[in-house]
Formats: sequence, structure tokens, C-alpha cells
Amino acid sequence: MKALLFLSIILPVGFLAAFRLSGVLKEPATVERITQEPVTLTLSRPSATIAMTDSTIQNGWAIEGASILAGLQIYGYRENSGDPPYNDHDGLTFRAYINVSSTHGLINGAKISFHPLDDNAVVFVSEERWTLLLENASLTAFQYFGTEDTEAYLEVDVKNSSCSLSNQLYWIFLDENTESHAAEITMEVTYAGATSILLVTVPFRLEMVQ
Amino acid sequence: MLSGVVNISLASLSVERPSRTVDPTDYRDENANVCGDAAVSIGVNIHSYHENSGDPPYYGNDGLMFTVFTASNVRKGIEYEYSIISNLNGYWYTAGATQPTNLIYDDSVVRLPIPFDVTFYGGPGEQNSSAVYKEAWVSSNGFLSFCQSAPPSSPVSTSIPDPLGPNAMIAAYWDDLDPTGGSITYGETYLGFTVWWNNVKNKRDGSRLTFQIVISHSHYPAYRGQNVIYLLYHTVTWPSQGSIGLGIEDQEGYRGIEPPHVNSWQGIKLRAKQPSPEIRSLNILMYKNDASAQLRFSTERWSKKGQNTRWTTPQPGTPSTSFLARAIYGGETLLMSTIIGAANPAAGFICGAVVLTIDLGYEYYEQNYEKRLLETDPTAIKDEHNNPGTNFAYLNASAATNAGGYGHPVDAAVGTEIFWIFLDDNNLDHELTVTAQLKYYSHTEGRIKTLETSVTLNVYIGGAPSIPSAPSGPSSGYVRASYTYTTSTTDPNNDNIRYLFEWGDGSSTWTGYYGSGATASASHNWQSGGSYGVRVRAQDETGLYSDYSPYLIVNIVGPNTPPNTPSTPAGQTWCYVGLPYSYSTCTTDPNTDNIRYQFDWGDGTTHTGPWYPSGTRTYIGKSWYRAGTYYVKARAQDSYGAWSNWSPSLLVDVFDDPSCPTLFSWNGTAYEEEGILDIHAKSDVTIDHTLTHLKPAGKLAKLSLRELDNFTSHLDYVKLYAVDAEAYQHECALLLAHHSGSGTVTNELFYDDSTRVDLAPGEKIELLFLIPTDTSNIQYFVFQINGHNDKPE
Repeated sequence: MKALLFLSIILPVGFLAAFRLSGVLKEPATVERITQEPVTLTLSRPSATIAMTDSTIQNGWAIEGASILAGLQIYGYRENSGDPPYNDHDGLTFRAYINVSSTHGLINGAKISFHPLDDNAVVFVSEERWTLLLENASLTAFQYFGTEDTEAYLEVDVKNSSCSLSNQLYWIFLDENTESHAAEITMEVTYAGATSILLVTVPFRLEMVQ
Repeated sequence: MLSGVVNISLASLSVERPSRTVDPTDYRDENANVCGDAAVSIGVNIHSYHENSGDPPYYGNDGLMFTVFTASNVRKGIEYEYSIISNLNGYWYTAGATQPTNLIYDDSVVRLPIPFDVTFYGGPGEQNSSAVYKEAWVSSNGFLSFCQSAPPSSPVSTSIPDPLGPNAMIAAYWDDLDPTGGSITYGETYLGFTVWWNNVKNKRDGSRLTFQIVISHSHYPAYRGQNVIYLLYHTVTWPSQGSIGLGIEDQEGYRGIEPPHVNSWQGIKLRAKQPSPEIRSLNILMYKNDASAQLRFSTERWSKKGQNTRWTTPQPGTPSTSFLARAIYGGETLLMSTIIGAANPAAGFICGAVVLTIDLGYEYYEQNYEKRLLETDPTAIKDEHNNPGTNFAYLNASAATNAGGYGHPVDAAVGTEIFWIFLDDNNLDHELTVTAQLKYYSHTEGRIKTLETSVTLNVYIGGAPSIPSAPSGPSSGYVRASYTYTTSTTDPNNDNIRYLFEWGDGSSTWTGYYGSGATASASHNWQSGGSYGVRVRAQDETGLYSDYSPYLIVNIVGPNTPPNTPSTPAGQTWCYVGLPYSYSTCTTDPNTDNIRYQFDWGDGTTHTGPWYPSGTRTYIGKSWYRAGTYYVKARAQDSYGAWSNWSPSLLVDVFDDPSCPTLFSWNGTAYEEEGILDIHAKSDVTIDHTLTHLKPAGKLAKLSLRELDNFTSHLDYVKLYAVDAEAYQHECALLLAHHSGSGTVTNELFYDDSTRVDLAPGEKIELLFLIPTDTSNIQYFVFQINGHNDKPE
């Protein structure tokens, strides 16, 4: 038994050292950051509860062998809603989604971040069982509350080369329907290609203007 | 339904199903169930109704979102047991218990603060699950009470227990004690909060007593969280006659324990009996009766509420699944937002539910739980999300175990938001029964018992308003003229109603909300001629429409033409103040509409007369109240509101009240008024009046005196002087004076004598004077009159 334990440790370490010295294993790849141009959706702030199911924007990135498609789908605007988490405030309910496919290389992880740009709005990430949709991914980090100072986010580990991540968010406005608001939503994917690691950022900007 | 379940009452909340999104709503209901050793309550609060909502989980359907709060406790079942302490070694402490109580007089009482939280018989007395005792009322007569309503101090003990009070009581030696010669002090010793009667006198037999009541720091879960009580006797004697109060008693005085008397340097330990009732689970059950609805429990962080319950998987880094523990961890930023309670006076206590909602404190919370994952115990919830097609949904919240694994709590709460989704096209009623189910272990019966309370929700297709009456108003009119129409109807639910008038020209008007049965009105003007069908429909506050009313056909013709300009008003142009005069005018309307006239009297006033057919001459009376010259004019208005131009003006002279003769002079073509000769006096006066209009005919000057008042003037003489450039007055000879009633009165008016000529109302005297031939360069004439008019003031 002791011999088996010895071999299980010594052999992998020995192989690793030998391959590194002989050049069979390459040096760690450098991380290359790619940031797409943001796509902006500007909405006129309604004065009453209204469905906005036609409001959708998308952004993406692709190279040979890998592609990212991200988007925001607006569900509706609530005015002085009694439902939690509005609690008599106004707000926008929407879904953020990201679909990643790869035929070469590996998708290591993905993250959706939401950052309100003013101090009179907050964002919540839903924890309902039916709103979080994961395919080939598992949740590793979660910040359900975001402010001007703290971004909300979802972070996943990807189990194989293609994955999708989607969840519902609540963007709550704390003013009395007198102000405009803006927020940044970024979708990040870590892609390990043949020669480098790519950190691809697909940004969005949401504007709710008076 | 489980056998043996006690569910004694049902509450029902019926809501008319809206036809549009209503957010927020204010519907709520609550219920409670209390038995001998437990209580459970439920509150339902409907947040909103959504019509065809695109938001998950409605996905285009209708639905309600409501909150269910449940709370329970089994504090009522807590019982105490005692044990004898045969030796006070290790129990008797005085250090720290020497603060004076000021109990220095016989039969006195004092309120003392307790430096830590105390629970006693599950109390405080009304069994509010979040409250604790922080003070006690201490009597000089050997007992204390946690109830503020305790009598100040009674020297006569009662049996224990006794509902008459004092309740929530601890008695070590309740008798008529006198602190004189001893002391009563208090403080915190090693053992706990201590009240120390030191060498007080028993007035019954004169003996001296030293004893303590100690409320221990200890409130281990094994003792159901209740503080241990010690009654410690350093020096004690028990009289053979009469009774001494000894023991403890609950808040209502129905439960208590009376240990035996012990000797000096012995004591009594009192603690909650093990086992006592304990909560095993608090569940939310929902039963619906149709497949056209779905139920989903929300697992949002802000939806899940609870105390001493666990219905989510323990999270990494979370020290306890107790919501209360997390709330405390969240610190002072947590707000208590909702309290739902249900009282049962007959049972003598209130079951209260305190639901804590995280309203603030998110950031602090996140600092501690930022890696929280999205997990929910899959066995805790059954609903349409994980069990499609079920008519029975539940949320099972098992009671948390206390730290160290000691038992379960005596109070618990759980709540969450629930989506009740309707799959029909807003044409079906739905019913849902929401039940709070408490499962607890009853030590007296040695089994798990169940206590339930329910609220039934009914959402029904309400009655739409009845068909409104056909619009009532003008059935003909002109383009661009505004017309008002009315209607009314009733709503079977007495909802308020608003109306939609459709004018037949593609436009419509919403009214505001009216009470059921009230008359509503709306106005409209059509921009072109034609025949229009006007109809109206009603909508109640829930959005339900009535059918359309019958049409009212309205014929609108081309632009209305205003009446022609009226004729110049006809009437008296020579008037006196205060006297009535009549004026008339006339015109026609090109559309033969009825018309009415408006007179402008020139004095800032107008008068609008009644409606007459076109072409009718109209007479209107008028009096002026100030002398002056007035321009009287008139215009006409047709029945559709159009005005004509103003007529030419009629010049009307209005004179002051003529109480004396009025002098007129010949101006070459007519007599013109020179003015009133004011001889208003009791006897004769002489008045000179300069003439301004006299125009002699050759050497003759013609004048006229007229009595226009209704009171007679008495004239002695009259003279006329021609004044030349040197201001020399040349008298003109009176050739003739002709009285309209008496004839020639020349001589009577010629001399200053006793003869008078009376000038009665309506009479006049024509005067003819001869201007002296040698007079030239006449500048003006002066008329002189002597006489009087004694008309009363």
C-alpha cells in the first residue's frame, strides 16, 4: 500500500518535470483580452406598467472554431409595483443570456456582470428555480445584489466546449420616475485556444431615459 | 387531510378577477388556530394581479402573486419541574447582590431592571415569540412578578396557580414581611440575577428570614430556552398556622408549581420540564381544484422568510440556517416590516407572527454570504415547477435543531411569495386553500400532533356593468358647437364605473370614475356636418366592460349663422333718474333659430332676455339711477350660442329728479333744456340762471317753464336779462306768459308781489320776452325767477 502511494505521487511529479525540461509541455499561454464594442439599448421610461417583450439586443464575437452570442431580452417595466423586489418602486425586468459554442479549444468559464451607473438604482439577480438556466455549466460564484459601487454577477465553470448561461434580473429604480438611469452589462468568456487564452468581453449598455 | 388534525376555522378571501394588470393590490386576510398547548397563524397578502404578463413564471398567462406568512408556537405547553437543593454550598452568592432596592417600607414594590433577557413560561405573557422579559416588579413581601399589572404588594398570599394574580410570578416566601431591621437588595451574582431578602421580619411570628430569588443566566436549549429559577433559603422558618406563598405561576395564572417547604440552607431549583412541547415542522400546504391553474413557490432570497425553520439547503459559510440567526448576523440594518396577528380573547392569549423581511442590509449580508449558491432543498417543495399537474403543493419547513443538537424550538415562522398562475382566457373562476400546518411533539400525549389554520382564496369572474342607457343630449346641432351628453348604469358588484363615449366620428372620450348608478357626462363637438351615432359603454374598476348602449343619432348641420344685427333700440330718449322706461328691438336669425336679446344700457349693466322665435320684437324695462347720457344698444344670440353684431346705439339723456321748474329755451329749432331752477324752499327765493342754448328770433326770446316733478311750484315773477360786453344787464320785457292750464298769466309773473302762479306737475308756461332795441353786443342771457317749491325732502 505504501508503495502504491509512493508511486502515485512520485511518478506524476517526475513525468511533469521531465516533460517540462524536455519541452514537451509548453510554457503557460499568455492571456489575451478582447473587448467588443458595446451595444446600447435606450428605452424611454414609461409612466405605467408595460410589457416590452419586443425589446431585445444582441452582441457577439466569433473566430474560427468558436463563437459567442450574448443578449438582453426585456420583459417589462413595472411602475410602483407591489411585488418583491420592487417593493413599490419602479423597475425593469429582463433576461441576460450568453451562448458559447466551440469546435476547437476549450471554454473554461463564463460570467455575466451587471453594474448600475448611478446611485439611485440597484439590481437583483433572480434566484428562482425557473429563471436560472445552465447548460454544460455549473455555478461557482454569485453576487445577487449590485449597486453603483458593487456589481452583481453570475460566474460558471464550463463542463465542455459549448455552454449556455441565462438568468433573470431586476433593475430597480429608487426615484419617483423623475430620473434617467444607465447600466453596464458585460458578458465574459474565457476561451483556451490552441496557442493562447482569450478573455473575451461582450459589453452592453442599458439606458432608461426620461 | 391527516387524521387527528385540528383545523377549527376557515377564512375566505374572495377577489373579483380583474381584466387588466392591477399592481399593487391591497387584498389580505389572516387566520389563526389555538389549542391547549400550541398556536398557529397564517396571513395571506395579495401583491398584484397580472394580465397576460410576459414575465416568468406567467409566460403570457394571467396570475396572482401573493405572500403567505405562517407562524406558530408551543409555548403554551411548557411546564416546569422542581428539584430540592439539599445544601446551598455552590449556590449561595451575595457578592454583586448588594444594590439597594429602596424596599424599606412595609408592603412596598419596586421595578428592577434585569441585566439579561429572560424567558419564563414561554413568556412574556402574550406569547409574542420575539419578546423577552427585561425587568421585574419586586415586592417586599417575598415575591416578584414579570407582569406590569401585578398588584403593588399584597401581604396575603394566594394559592398557586391563581388567575387573579399576580401572574408571571416567582414567590420564595410570600407573606406579610417587614424589611425594617433588615434589607432587600439585588444585583447580578455568579448564579444570575438575584433579589436578596436579608434578615427581614415575618410579621406573623416575628421571626427573621434570609432568602433569595435567583433568575439564572442559564437558558439552555435542554430547558426549552427558559431561564432556570432558584429559590434559596439561608435562614427560614415556616409558621404552622396559615399558608406561605411558594412557587411559580404562568402569565395567565392557569399553570404553576408549588414545591414543598425546605429547611434553612436548602433551596429549590425550577426549570422547564424535559420534554416539553416542541415544533417539528411548519408547512405551507395548498390545495386547488382545477387544472387550469398552476402554483409555484418563489425561492427568491427576498421571498423566503422564516424563524427557527429550515427549508433551504445549508449554505457554505452560513453559521446557522435559522433566519433569526441570519437576521441578527445582518445587524441593525434589518427592518421589521410586517406583523400579522390573530387574537383569541377567549383563550386568553394572542398568537402572534412576526415576520422579518430583509429590506435593507443587503450589502452587509452579501459580505458574509457572497458565495451563496442557488440551491433549494428539492424535497422541501412540491409545486408545478417540479411536479407539473399537481393540485396539491406544499412547502415543508422542518424546525431547526438548536445548537448542540438539543431538541427543537418552541416557536417558528415561515413564509414566501407564491405565484398562482391562471391558464384560461380570463373566463374561469379559481379557488385555492392555503393552509399553515404545524407539527409538534406533545409530551403530555407522547405523540406528534398537527394543528392547522387555513385561508381560502377565491378568484371569480365578476359581473360586468350593465348596459348603460343611451346617451341623452341634443339630437341636432351645428358644426364646432359643443354639446353635452349623459348616461348611467349600475355594476352588480357596486364597483365604480367609468364610461367610454364614442361619438361616431372616430373619436371617443373616457370619463372619470363614477359610483354605480351615478349619472356621467361628457361633451363633444363635431368638426363637420352629418349624422352621427353616439353610443357609450361602461367599464368597472376591475376592467370589465359592459356591452354598448343603444345609439343616439345626432344630426349636425353646417356652420351655424349668427342672428342678423338687431334694430336700434326704440324707446324714451328723455328720461329721469329712477323712473321706468321701456325699450325694444327686433331681428331675425338666418337659421330661424330661437333668439334672445342682450341690451347694453351704457351704464355698465346689461340685460339678457328670454328666448323668442326669430323675428319677435322684445320689450325690456330699464331705469337709470344716475343722471347722464347713455348709449343703449342690443345684440341677439341664437340657440346655438352664436351672437350677432351690436345694433346702433340709442342716445338716452337721463336727468336728476326734477323737484322744481325746468327751464327750456328756444335754440332756433326746438326747446332745449337749460336746467332745473332750484327754488326748493318753504318761502320765495330768487334764482339767476345763465342761458346757454337761447337763440333769439329777432328781438324776441322764447322760453318755457315746465313742471316735470310731481309737486307744484309757486312762482312770483320771472325776468330775462341780456348781458352785454360790459356785463351790463338789460332787462327784457315780458310780453307774454301762457300757462298750459290757466291761460295768460303775464301780469301775475310780471311783478314782485303777493300773487303767485302755480305750476303743477305736467304743466308748463310759455314765456316771450322782448329784447331791448338799444341793446347791442349781447354776450349772453340771464333768466331770473322768484318763487318756491316746498316739496318735502
